[in-house]
Amino acid sequence: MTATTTTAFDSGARTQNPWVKLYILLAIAVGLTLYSIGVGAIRVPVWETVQTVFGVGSGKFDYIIQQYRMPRIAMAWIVGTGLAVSGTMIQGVIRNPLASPEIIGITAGAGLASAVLLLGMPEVSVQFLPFVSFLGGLIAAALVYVLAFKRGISPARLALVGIAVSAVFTSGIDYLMTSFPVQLDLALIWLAGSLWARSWEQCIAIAPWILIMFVGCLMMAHKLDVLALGDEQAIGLGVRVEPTRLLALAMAVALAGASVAVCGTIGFVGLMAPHMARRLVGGQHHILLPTAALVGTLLVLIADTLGRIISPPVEVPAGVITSIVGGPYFIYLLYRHRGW
Amino acid sequence: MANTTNSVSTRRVSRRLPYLKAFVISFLLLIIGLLLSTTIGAVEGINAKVFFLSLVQYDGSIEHLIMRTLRMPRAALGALVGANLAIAGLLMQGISRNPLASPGIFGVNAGASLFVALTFTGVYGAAATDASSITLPFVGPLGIVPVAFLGAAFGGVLVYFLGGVASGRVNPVRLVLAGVAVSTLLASLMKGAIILRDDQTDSIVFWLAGAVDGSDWNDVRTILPWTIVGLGTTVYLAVSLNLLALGEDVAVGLGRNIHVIRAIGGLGIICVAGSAVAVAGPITFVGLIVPHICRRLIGVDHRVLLALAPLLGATMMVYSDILARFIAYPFESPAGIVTALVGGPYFLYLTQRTRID
Amino acid sequence: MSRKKYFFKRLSILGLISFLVAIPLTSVQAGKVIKHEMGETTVPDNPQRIVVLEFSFVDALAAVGITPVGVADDNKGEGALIPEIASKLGEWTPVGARKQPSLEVVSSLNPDLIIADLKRHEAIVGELNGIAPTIVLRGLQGTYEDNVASMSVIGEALGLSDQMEKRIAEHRSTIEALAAKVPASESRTVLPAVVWADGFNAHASSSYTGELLEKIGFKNAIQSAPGKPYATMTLENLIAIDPDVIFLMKYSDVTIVDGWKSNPLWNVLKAVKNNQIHVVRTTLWAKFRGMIAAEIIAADAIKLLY
Repeated sequence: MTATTTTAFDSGARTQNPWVKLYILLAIAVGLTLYSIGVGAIRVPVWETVQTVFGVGSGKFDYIIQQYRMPRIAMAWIVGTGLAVSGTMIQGVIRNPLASPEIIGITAGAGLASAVLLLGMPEVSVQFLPFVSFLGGLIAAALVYVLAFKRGISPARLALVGIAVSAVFTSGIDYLMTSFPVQLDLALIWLAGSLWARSWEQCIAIAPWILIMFVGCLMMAHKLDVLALGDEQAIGLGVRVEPTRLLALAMAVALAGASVAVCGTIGFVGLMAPHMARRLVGGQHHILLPTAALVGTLLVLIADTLGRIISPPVEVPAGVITSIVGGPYFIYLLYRHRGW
Repeated sequence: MANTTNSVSTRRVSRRLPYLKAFVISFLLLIIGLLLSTTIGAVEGINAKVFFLSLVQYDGSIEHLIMRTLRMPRAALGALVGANLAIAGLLMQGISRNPLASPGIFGVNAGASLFVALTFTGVYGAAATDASSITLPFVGPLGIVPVAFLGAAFGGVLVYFLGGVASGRVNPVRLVLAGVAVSTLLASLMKGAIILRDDQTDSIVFWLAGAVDGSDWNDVRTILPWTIVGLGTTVYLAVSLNLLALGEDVAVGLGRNIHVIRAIGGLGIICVAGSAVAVAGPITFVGLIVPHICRRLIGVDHRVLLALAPLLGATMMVYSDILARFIAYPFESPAGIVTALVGGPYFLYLTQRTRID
Repeated sequence: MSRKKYFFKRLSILGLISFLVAIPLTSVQAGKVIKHEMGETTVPDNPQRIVVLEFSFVDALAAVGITPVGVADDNKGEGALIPEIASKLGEWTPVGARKQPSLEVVSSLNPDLIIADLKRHEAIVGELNGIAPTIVLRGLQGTYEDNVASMSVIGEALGLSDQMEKRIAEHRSTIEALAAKVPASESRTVLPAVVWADGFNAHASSSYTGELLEKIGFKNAIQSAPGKPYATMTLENLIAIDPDVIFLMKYSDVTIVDGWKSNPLWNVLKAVKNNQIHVVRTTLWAKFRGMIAAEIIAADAIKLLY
């Protein structure tokens, strides 16, 4: 395969030196990470910040820097990567740049499961939330896959069924919200997607999974490239289309499910990140995946940082900000998109 | 245009109900529904007899007052909202020639409810410090309707163009994708507004599910003219829609101006869907499934559909509203929950039957 | 291009991504063990800098004359509190919304005790404990008796048990004295309700306000099971229940009730006929729980009814 291969929906990016772009992106992400550590409701002097990060500060800001800002920023890296890589896989499989983890029911499934827990069973500890939410996403995605399966998976049908299942699940969320208003605030914040008060424990619990699946996705990069050429071509090139598709989708579901499980539904990241990455480095998955991961990280990081500094001490959930940015971007995408 | 391969058609059903039979049955169902709706409620002992007596021999008693000022407007509003949504769905599916088009999917509901919700939360019209100081359904029906229209138009037009209807790139999935994205965007904006304004969370969430429970004759007066406008639009467009169903080139060949049809239809949709959202909140799935049920019953002729769809829409809504009362009896639950519970699975079923290339 | 080269590049990226390391730091100091809704926490003997994340706990602190250093006030400042309590307090710092307090600000206040609400803050108790010893109580969700029990725990945590128990005893006698003003023959039913532009939400007998009013001798018009404290109502529901007295907690200037007033049925209601519809202070009746608030609510109710 050569670097000039175009995929079904390659937006014609200049791909002369994608690795340079990747490293530049990485530098930006690291820079933003540092910046984000430095800002928030409480002003911490720059030098103090640096010292505290390395554990040699006065100790006055240890909690704010080490236990509050750093874990949530680490979480931004984790879920940004998770959502973006998931989105890339899904777009690769559905062969439509407009697809995203939201489309195949993960978000609605996770949302409904969390709503059931938060609203319908208020006596159950919220510690179970990530698990329940992950399970919900998984079940929804499986349901979508089964319902969409008709002698193989047609990408368009997958999208359509995904939307229908999401619509049904969303009605379920509505029902719970109107019937059990006591816990409403909690549920709303959860459903809006936020990195508020995430801990190192949560990061450590989820990071290995995201990492492993990310590596797994990278190992599938070549197959995804071939799949992007169309089913016939792929079969011609010796790729077993259906199993590959299933595996890629499973990875995507696990990635998005895990991300949503810890942070709620941070919307549009899984949609925007792959697309921006594709414009930067082209459609080849071995570079597209890491680039998308970085773009996703950047998006979540920016949203979270903004949310913290807009009107402190009140925080705007990151998911609200990504949606406000992501919605118009999607509209722009759709406007340009010529396929189905 | 290769739309026949690209677009979607639900399988024709060979045996159809004769028109008259379909109408009589739906009409009877609606009448029974209206009777049930006006005789089931928190205050007991209000039966069909009260219904008739309050009409012919009104005596101002509590029973008669409840019948005339609470239950009748509620039933009537339910019927009108259902009719409006069905008309909206019918027009949308006709114009876009897309079986999945409906106010919910087209972003019309989302747009209207965002605008109305922003009115509630006081974000829209930033000068307002208190939600109530702007407009409220009962205070100034004329206040909230334009807001809802604006929102409906905003969401609908966005999806219409993005979904490729305007440019003839008719594809059901694309349209649905566009609708979902626009709805998601509008819904997140709304969530943001709700989260940032703490006090009114419950009220907005209840409103967002869609309900007709607290309605009065003002609401009925608000929506009725638009229902008539909607009916007029369908009557005017019926033949054009029939031609359009054969293909755009056929319609053009027979001297129809596609753009005019779309513009008039679009305005009609905004009127019916916007006014329905203004009085009842974003009720989902009625606009989607009622036209399908009608086509299964009596076929694809819009001249007949335009009468049956509102009738069935009204029926569905009235029964949903009745069922909603039993969710937390004797207290209220939004009727939109029931329509979603019924409509959601039907939507799934439709996607199973929809042919996609 | 060789695929091997890519593989190493991939590896280098992965290495860079996973560069963050945790530095957990916690210390335990001497103090007393407090039992609360989420287990036991060791709290300093005489905490001085207390952050409270729900209104009812502000009430508890004010009851024993303590000013919290931080209050989750929903960004409303003094306006979030009732004046009777605000006047008892000194300076405090807002720490954000109750549902999403800014832990940065909480931490910057160097608290030595945090009082959190079970339902709102259960998920972040780990974080809060990282800042300062945290006790978790039922504020938002509890019944009247739960609330009084919480006060006891707070007293213990503050190291002011004697003072708090005294205050609780005082509170009990105040409520009893108020209850004594209500004749045993009082047969009127009451219905407190939150009203907004488009809705009427009744607080039934198992709600905090409902329970408090029952305590002083007013039967709630809706006898509800525990855990079902609220009911969404229409005008017809209201007519069916027909309470003798209605307390309205208004969330907006114009409410659904203003629309109902133009309906002749409105005048059928006993509460309307007897002029027993009372608009009460929303912040006090609908958002505050605690001894001070309860005493004022009870006194207000009696004043309005006799």
